[in-house]
Amino acid sequence: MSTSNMKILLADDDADDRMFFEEALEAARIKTEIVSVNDGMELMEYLNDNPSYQPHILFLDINMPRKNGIEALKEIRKDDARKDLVVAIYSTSSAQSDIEETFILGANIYIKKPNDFNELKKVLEDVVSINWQFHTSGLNKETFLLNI
Amino acid sequence: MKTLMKEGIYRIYISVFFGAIFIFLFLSVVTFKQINDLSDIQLKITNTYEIQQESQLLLTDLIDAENGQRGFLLTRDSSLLEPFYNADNKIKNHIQKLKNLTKDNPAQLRHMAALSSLNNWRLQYLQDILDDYAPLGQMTDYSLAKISESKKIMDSCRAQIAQIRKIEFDLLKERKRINNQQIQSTSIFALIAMLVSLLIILIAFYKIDFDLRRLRRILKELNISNEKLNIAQKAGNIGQWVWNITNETIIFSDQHYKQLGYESGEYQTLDDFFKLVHPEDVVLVERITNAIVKEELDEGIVYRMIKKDGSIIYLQSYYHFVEDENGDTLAVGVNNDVTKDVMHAQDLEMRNDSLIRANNELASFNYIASHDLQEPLRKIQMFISRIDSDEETIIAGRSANYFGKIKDAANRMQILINDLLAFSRLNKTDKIQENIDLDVMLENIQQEWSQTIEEKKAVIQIEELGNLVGVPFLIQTLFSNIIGNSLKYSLPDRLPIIKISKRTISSQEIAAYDEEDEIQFHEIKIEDNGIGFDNKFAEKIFQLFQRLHDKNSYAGTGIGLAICKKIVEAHNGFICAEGKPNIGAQFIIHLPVTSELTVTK
Repeated sequence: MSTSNMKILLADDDADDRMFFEEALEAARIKTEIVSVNDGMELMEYLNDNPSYQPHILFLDINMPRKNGIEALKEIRKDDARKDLVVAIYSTSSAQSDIEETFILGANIYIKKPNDFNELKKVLEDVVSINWQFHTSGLNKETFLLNI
Repeated sequence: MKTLMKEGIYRIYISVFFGAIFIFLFLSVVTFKQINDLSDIQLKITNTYEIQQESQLLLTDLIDAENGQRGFLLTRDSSLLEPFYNADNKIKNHIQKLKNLTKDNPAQLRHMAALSSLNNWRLQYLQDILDDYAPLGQMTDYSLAKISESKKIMDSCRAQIAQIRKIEFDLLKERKRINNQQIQSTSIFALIAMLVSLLIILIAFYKIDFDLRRLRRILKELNISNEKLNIAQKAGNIGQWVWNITNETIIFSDQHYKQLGYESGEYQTLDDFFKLVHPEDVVLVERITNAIVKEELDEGIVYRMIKKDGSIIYLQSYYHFVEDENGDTLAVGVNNDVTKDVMHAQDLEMRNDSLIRANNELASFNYIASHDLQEPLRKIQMFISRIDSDEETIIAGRSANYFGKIKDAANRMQILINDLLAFSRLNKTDKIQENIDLDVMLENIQQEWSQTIEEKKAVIQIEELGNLVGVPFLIQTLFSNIIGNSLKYSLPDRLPIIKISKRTISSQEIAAYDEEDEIQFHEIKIEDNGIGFDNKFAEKIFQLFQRLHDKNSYAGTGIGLAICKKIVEAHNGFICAEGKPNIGAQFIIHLPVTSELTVTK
């Protein structure tokens, strides 16, 4: 864990989930600077308005109003400036089609939202400590879905 | 294009006929000529006879004349001179006759001319002697000399006549020879002509008889095939037509009229027929009509016609082209009544549509189950875990009990949703068959259930199972569910024992197998000593959401065994269960040794 604050961008339309997310980071004592946006539209606006902002990880929900996570992911991967951004899909869905599609579109990891707060804490601890360079080079369909 | 009669055979018949007529004519002409020649030679023979007779008579008359003169000279009886005086006329007559008879023979004519002058000379000498009158019994020297000379002339006459007769005799001999020859050849030729004629007549008779028999047979066969055609048209409800493209007429069969509900012959022309075409299909029928007129094939188009009673019939036309005996082109075709097929297809299409709709609804239900239902549940569970882990929150007494029940209910709902998802995902999983080592797979499954096995001190006895062809993920789910089931429904006061065995049997031993061909099946038995069940529920336990126990005594969603049944059926196998309450249950799985998956997408 780095000593400096970790920059995390969270795109999720569910206020409760955003709350659980922030509480879990706090409970795990991970020093972070969190930016939250409500949907894909807001996310893209924020990224475009702040080109110098380079978050360590983007947690991206799939099912969002206006612009969903998949559309946002496509746009991010098209943008040369953002093509190396670490994208962690963060969704309730465990549908194989969602997992496959986001893998093909170039997301770095797929996290199914846990049902238990302690589990969530553990997931976040695991995810922030991932060496992304190493993780991405050995990425395949099996390692893409985070095992809890 | 077929012609109604074979040109080649017809040409052969015609040339044989003219050949026979030519042979008849030739024989007739030759025979006529032969008979004609024969009568000609007969006439010539008669002519020869007449010449011989005439020359004989001439000689006789000459002798008579001489005798008369001699008698008179001896007796001076003038009555004896009568033959002498008549002789002149008679002899001239004979000579004239002979000249006529021999007019086409120059040699004879020369003899005749000599004879004629000899004769004149001779008669003159007789007259001269008579004129040189001398007394009875005496002859003047002149007379004696004349007598002597006339004897010489007489001898010449005789010689000439002998010559004539000789020539005629030779001619007669020659002509008789020719005659004989001709009679012989004519009769042989006539015989040959008769025989050849007879032969031709016989061949002609045989051929006509043969053709007549064949014609009769063909007519009978034609009758039979007509009957066949009629019955086929009737049974298949097929209308038939013959359209003469050259003179634009059409003949419809009885069944055609019947198809459309009309009496036979109620309409006769193409225009009448076109009036019955469904207004929306006029273009289609025009297309077929144009193709027929251009002698092209455009078959199989389904079009509608309006029957006499106003109802609609769907027809499909097939045809081909032939040429009739006048060289006209005929389109011979049938109209199939495909109304039932069309109705059936439409019905099927409708069912398919509703099936697709139902499937889509099911798919959206799956999405709801996987996402929208999980979302609030996850929140409930999340808040429960927050309350649980929050040290500041103290729940006591009845509330603690209620809180526990909320937790249980949320967990049960989680299991239910997970099971439902597992069930619906069976259809979506990639079904790649592999050779599965069951022994290894069962090891893994025991690992999966190790916690429960330890808790319940269960014993799992597995014989060596060997290999099996199937989709690994599905087969694993199958065994895991059944073993989990046996572990779950164990009796509290009895240590669970689960026995698993496998053998190979023939499809004939499986009651549920109803295919014709005999194949090999794996039979896998999983036996437990748990709570069992009443056999009347043996079928019901495999149905979705069917539970035999209340959820307080045994947790369960009623989905696990339904999943098992679905997996086994996807592998073309069978699953059944037998149970005895409080003794145990036995699950029997039959899977084909060589399996081909039934895709149930």
